[in-house]
Amino acid sequence: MTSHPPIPDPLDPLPAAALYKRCDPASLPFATTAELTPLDQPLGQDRAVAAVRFAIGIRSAGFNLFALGPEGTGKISLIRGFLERAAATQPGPDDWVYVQNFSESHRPRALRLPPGRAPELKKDMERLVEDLRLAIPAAFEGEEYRTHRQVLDEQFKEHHETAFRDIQERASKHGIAVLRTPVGLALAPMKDGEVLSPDEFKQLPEDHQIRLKSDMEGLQQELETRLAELPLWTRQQRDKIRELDRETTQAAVAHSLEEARKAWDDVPAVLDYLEMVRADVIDTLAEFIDRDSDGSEEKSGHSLRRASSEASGFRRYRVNVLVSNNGGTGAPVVYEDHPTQPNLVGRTEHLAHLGALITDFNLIKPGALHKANGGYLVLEARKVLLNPYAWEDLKRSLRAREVRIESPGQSVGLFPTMTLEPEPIPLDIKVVLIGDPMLYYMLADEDPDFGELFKVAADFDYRMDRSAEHELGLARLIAGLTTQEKLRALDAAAVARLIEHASRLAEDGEKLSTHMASLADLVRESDYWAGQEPAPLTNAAHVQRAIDEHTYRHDRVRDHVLEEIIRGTVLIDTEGEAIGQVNGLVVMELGRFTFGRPSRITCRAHFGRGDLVDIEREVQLGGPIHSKGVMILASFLSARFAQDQPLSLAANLVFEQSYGEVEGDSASSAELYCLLSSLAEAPIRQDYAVTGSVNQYGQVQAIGGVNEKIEGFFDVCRARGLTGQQGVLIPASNVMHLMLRHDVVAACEAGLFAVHAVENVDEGIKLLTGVPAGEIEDDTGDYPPGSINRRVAARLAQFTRRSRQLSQETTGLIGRTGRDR
Amino acid sequence: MDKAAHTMPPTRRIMVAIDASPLSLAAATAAAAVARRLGSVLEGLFVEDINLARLTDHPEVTVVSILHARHHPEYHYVIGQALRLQQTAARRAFEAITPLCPLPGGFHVRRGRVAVEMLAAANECDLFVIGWHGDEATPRDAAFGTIARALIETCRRPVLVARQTVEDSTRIAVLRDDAAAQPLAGVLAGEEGDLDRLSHPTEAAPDHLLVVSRSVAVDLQGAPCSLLVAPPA
Repeated sequence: MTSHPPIPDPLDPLPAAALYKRCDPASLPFATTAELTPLDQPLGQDRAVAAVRFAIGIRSAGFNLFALGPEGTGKISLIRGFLERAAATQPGPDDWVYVQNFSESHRPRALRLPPGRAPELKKDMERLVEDLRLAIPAAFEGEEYRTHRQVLDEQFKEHHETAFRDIQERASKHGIAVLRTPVGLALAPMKDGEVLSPDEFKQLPEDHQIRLKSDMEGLQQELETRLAELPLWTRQQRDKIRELDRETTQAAVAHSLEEARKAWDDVPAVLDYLEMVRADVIDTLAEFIDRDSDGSEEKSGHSLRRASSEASGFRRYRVNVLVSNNGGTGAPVVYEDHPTQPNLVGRTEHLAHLGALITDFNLIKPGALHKANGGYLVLEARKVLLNPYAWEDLKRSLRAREVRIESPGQSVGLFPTMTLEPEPIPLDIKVVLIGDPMLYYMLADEDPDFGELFKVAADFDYRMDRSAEHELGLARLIAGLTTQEKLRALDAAAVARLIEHASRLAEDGEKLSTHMASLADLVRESDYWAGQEPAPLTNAAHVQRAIDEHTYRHDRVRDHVLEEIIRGTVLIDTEGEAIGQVNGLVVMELGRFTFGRPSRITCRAHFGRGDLVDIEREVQLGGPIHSKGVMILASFLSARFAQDQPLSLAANLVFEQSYGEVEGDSASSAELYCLLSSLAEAPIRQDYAVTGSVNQYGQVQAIGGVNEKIEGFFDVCRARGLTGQQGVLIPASNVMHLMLRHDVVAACEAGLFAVHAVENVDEGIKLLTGVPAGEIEDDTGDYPPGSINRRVAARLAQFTRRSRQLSQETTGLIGRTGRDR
Repeated sequence: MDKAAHTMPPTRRIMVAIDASPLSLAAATAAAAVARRLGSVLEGLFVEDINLARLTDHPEVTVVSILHARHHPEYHYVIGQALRLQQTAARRAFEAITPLCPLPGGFHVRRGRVAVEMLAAANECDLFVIGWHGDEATPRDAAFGTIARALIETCRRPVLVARQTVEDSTRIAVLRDDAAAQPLAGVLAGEEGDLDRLSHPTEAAPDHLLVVSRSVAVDLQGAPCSLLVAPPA
């Protein structure tokens, strides 16, 4: 590993060693990655790792974890790795099943069972029902039941017939017929088995008529009394039959149930459930015995119900295994890739039956919270937030520490149709949300529940120090990847090139990117190019090829931009001088591909009222940070040149041929150079480009994308032919970020291109104009003659004098006008 | 039993008793099927019970509702209307099945004591068809109704007591299994139907018909079954 040399005089270009921090393959303690032990722990994420360990260790409520960091930094794999290792040492959670609630069928009961025993209960219940379906009909078809039932029937019939036969016989003795009619029982005078007609009745002796009427009245009252007793007799008969059926059923189920009870005598919840099953079987006996089409019970003997269990009511004795931890390999770690509300809290499915949607507890499906109960659930925060109701229901479950299965929107009353309300299941879970930092800070600011429920943040860094330890760690990670994916091993030079690229991705020669996804892709792509030769090892050339090919696949737009500059459509000079005109540098981002390009900035200054006009802002193409940068220029100008007089200046700054939004203050130093050039009427070298922001004191400050910006101007110059005079001015504080392309470094090394690091505006203006900025001399209190500052001060003084002159003329005019009056 | 062991006497005229009760309607459908199979004329019979008819407008009659267990002075006026409706329903039911018969005959209404009138009508045809039990309230009671008992005991012509619709295949139990009954039973049962010979009860028993009916209902595992009663040869 080498370090950047000290920054030279700004008038001298940076040495090649400062432009790129190389990684010496000889400094790596291996020849190929095949010699290395794969790294089994995360690299460069010490803070995040500590947070993850803490979150796993603490079992208190609310200490759920939010892992925040840029995508591609290996958050998911790191967290899953930690969770799986921790979960393996923890006990497996209990099983959960849903069973019928026999008293409230729309509220299925949840039963907690020892780990792995849910399938056993399911089988036991299936066997029990099968046994009962054979045992119960057999009991009812048996001789004993039939005899008892026949006796009951005969007793009822006998009771019934005796009661009415008695009336009928007495009526007959008195010459009265008891007839069954469509509207009831009729009593009518009778003779020789036939009802007397009204005329025949009138012909009877009067006393006979009176006696008959009296007898009929008596019989009528008796008949009414007997008929009134009929419902009672019928009910008593039904009760007797029901009692007989209950006794028969109880005897039939006793043996089968006892076996089941013995198997589950260590689980009280199951014993309770079996007791309820016993009661229900007796109450709903008809399910086990045949019925005729009209639903009435067959008197002539019960027979086995042949209908399938699907169509019958036997579904209610099933056991719906919600979660079962069969393997017993520790606590579960569940990653839910599609966290919709039903996928999180579970759902109740429905079956279409005769045009209606029906459901029961057998159609309850578990959600990720059920599957991860007793363990860990990993979710991507963005996906959770994008799915309606998922976030709210997740929070409610964590707050209440129970999972309540509700259809989406049910909790807010959107769907008032009746459905199942399964008994909530107690929740003991650690949820890990993964998301980008913006999402984390947004939730922390906007959602009052968030802080209570996700108390631990694992903040993943996007970069790590470029230390020997991390360089070796990166090499071991690469070794792990090549082993896992059966790729070629990399030689030390290839790894060195990868380390350099990791610094480039981090935009810092002293750092390494932790964006493992990009680095892993580069290893895969390098392996591909090695395979094209084919080569036994991936070497540095393969890595460089992979980088170049990747760039080539993505740089169509950059090529077009460059082409338009070379063709003169976009005006960029790379030689000569011009007053009030400078080459600024901008960075364009196209997805994950970024590149720099020069952009001409011009300034026209003239007498005015102290207005510094940012044309980009005036047309609303300038962002707030860009506007801030321009305002700082005005402040700098006033502070340096207008301490004791007004700034009678008007200047317009513009990004020429810029048709999109301009944001950032990285061009503010370029704008200041341009303004000073315009005021001093000092031409600026057009073979230089400038980047860097500036503060009120004229110090040049670091900016982002420094490598891309330098490369952007270099590409234009190279396309026109490198003159050896061209170069870029960058802030001195950006030197440590330099990781330039090899061709740029080579050109600088050959003296064909230059990168200058400047500390302040005075250094920059001297480089650009060849004229010193000048410092105030103690004896004169003025800037040296010919210096930029002297010329600017003189110009501004000229504007001020003109302003005073105009003011006096106006005052005089007014005075004269006043006297004329 | 061999279904075609004997020559069958001609069955030219079949009569079915209809009172619009569910089992009498089943009997009518069964009779239509038999008539179609034998090419017989099918006639319908409704007997208006003279005793019930006399209740109508009878000032001295008392009617007690079974449902309410109370005497209703107005109820006996309803009896006449009910009888007329019953007769109309029976006629319509017969008319509904006549398209099924190759030779539809007339619908007859007789007035008198039901058993007597039925027996008289049964003795005038070649096969008389009645429902097992007229009481809709106890359709599964294995016992015969009073009319069926009277016909079985005294009719000189074959009587089919129907418990089901006689379709292409059916189950027929034969009482008094002798040479006269066998051919007709075979035709009634059809090619694929079941023919069961009942154990011959002792007619001297106090209630041998009850035993017969139980035999049909219970011994044959409760399967729907009709009973053919043929007079002794």
